[in-house]
Amino acid sequence: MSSTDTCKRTAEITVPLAEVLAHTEKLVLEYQRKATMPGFRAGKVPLSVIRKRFHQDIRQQVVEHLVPIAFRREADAAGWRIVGDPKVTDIHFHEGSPLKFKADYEVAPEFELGEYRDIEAPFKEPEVTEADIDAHVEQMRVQRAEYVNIDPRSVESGDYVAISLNSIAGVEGEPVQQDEMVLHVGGEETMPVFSEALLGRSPGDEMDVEVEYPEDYSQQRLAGRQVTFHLVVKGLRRREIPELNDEFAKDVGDFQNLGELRDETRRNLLRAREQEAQAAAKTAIVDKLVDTHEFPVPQAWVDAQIESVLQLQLQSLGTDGPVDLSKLNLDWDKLREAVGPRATREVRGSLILSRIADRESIEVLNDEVDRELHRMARNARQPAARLRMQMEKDGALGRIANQIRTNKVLNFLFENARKVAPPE
Amino acid sequence: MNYYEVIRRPIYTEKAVGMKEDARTLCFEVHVDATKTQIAEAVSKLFGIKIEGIRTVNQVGKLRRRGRSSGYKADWKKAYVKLKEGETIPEFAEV
Repeated sequence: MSSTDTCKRTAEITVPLAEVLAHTEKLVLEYQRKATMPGFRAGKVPLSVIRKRFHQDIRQQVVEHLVPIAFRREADAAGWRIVGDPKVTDIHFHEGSPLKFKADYEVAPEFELGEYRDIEAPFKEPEVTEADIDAHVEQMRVQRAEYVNIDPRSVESGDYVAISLNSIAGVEGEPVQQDEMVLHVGGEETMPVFSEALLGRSPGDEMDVEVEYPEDYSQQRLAGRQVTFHLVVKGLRRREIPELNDEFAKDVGDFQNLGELRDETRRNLLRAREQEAQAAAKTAIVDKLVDTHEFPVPQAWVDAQIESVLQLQLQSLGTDGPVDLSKLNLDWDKLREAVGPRATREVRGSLILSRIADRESIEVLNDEVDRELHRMARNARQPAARLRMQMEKDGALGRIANQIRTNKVLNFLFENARKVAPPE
Repeated sequence: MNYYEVIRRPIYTEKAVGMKEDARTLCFEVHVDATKTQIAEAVSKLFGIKIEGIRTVNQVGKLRRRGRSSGYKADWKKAYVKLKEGETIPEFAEV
């Protein structure tokens, strides 16, 4: 046993000779039953021969079998709360003497739970003003705009122009090709180069445009590149935004009139903002808790967390289309190091939260798991029963329960926090 | 014939192991023309042990067929070598 400022411990464990011999004997008999050797009938090879012939195999199996058992027994007896798998070193195993080995393992950290109620958290009840709703409804109108063909004339600023475009140079791999896209000439969302090139043209005109994309352009394959496009003007369009009346409300969804639409919009906005504000407050609370609780964290958990963080990041890369990992040339060790401190904090946070849950006896009811499961089943368009079976198999059900518990703790902390208006 | 020509190989079978353990007897395949005297000398010199007695068996080669043609495996001689009481049994021929 050694220092307590980390979670690492070392134990020297001895397995009594009698136990070693008993297990060896068992294995010898097992081997006899299964062994086939030329010159011997199956299962009739003498034990003395088995012992010599399979000496190495049996020895190895004895160690593999007895070491974990002995370690577990020792751990249970001493009441260690083991995290991860122990590292076994210095195995001493000689004929006629007890089996001795050293195990390096990590234990769940012991720590005093500090103050967790009445934590200062930035939070302000969200508000939704009439102007917010106006803006949102306006956005919905624009989204529902229709583009109507108009007679050919030369392009003026503010026109909507239908073009086809393909890249001639500057793009690696597949060229970019769009048969039909509508650009708003002079609009904010259109790159100025395109607007300039299109001004004064008429349908049927063709031209080449050279575009320099900024480093932080949203499409990764184009960011930071100089690309030449070939454009063909196909036609002019006029944007027709639906009028703001009860008719529009009915068109949008299950609303009778504009009033209902606005009410629903208000509710949605309010809910979204409330969630956002609460999430921020909860993050702040957990941050404070992590700051005020100093205790060692088992490396095994940190490593697991690092892996899952990297996994998530990889997945988010993948959303822009398939990514060739070998091309990205990732330095995994560096990446792991980079997320290390964050992972440590996250592990510490979740340890604190689960301790609070224990202290406050926050439990997850089966009903709650069921409800979450049904919700997920609906989203995945799968029968709930099938999803449940699948999740039971890969242990996801436990994760869900854990998630619910964490959320409950967060809600508890939030309710008991001292809310302070955030600085504007 | 030198000793290594006399003794061709140890025989390691259920019967041979049984006799070695229960009747302090070693079992070898030996040269067909080897005499008991020659075998006794070879074994005692090679393993440094004293020998009580030797029994030999002439094994007739088995019939082997390959399609239409048939023939016999070579005849060979087997020797059971009994050690004197109290001799340490040499360890050899472990597969």
